[in-house]
Amino acid sequence: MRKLIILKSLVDFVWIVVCLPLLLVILIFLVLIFINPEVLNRVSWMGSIPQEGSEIVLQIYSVSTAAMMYLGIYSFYVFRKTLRYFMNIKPFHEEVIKNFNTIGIMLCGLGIVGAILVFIGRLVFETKIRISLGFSPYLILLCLGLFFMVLSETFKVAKHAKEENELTI
Amino acid sequence: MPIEVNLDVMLAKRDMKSNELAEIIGITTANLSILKTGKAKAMRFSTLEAICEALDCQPGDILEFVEEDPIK
Repeated sequence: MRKLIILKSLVDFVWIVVCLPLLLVILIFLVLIFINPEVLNRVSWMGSIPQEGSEIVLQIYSVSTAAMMYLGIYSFYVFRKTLRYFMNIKPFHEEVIKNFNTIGIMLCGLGIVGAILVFIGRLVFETKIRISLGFSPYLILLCLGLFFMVLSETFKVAKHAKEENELTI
Repeated sequence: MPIEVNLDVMLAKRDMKSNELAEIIGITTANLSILKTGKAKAMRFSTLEAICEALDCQPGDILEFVEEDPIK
């Protein structure tokens, strides 16, 4: 139980210190790139400063990246919400199973879309075609997403077994 | 479920109350109620043995197979 308390504290800390300010920063950045597109030319993209005149591409790329980051933050929020059920000793609640599946789908989506975005980013900003099949964070995200989906299925089986056990007189 | 529990019938025949039976066989009245209403998914042999002993009957007197209506 102490491990759960440490995990919950850590997740709360990350949520307050990283996620909440990040939500605001992304929102401000998104508004700023449409009000003053010159901001985009001051940001380093894939380690290189883009050429002038590619604002629309950069705007689309920024919005896609921001959407991905929001999705990541939302999956972290769902995870934080799920931990509350563990704290209340309700690990086999229907909501936990649903949340694990949602997190899994979102992480898989993040992994796939992230890899595609990086591939496009390299193509646009570095004019290079590079496919890295090694130990990449996107592959880990995909594995993590699938793991959460498997965990959801496992919890579903466990819930069924628990109910059956409770209804055995 | 096609298996019906006729515990209330046997209780009436033996003129015994639910809480009395629960106390004799050592289960809670809530669990006995689950058994009586047919919500139970399974029954332990030890529970069945205790019920049969308390009500002086056979398992067949308590459990009955009723074929389900295919339209339902």
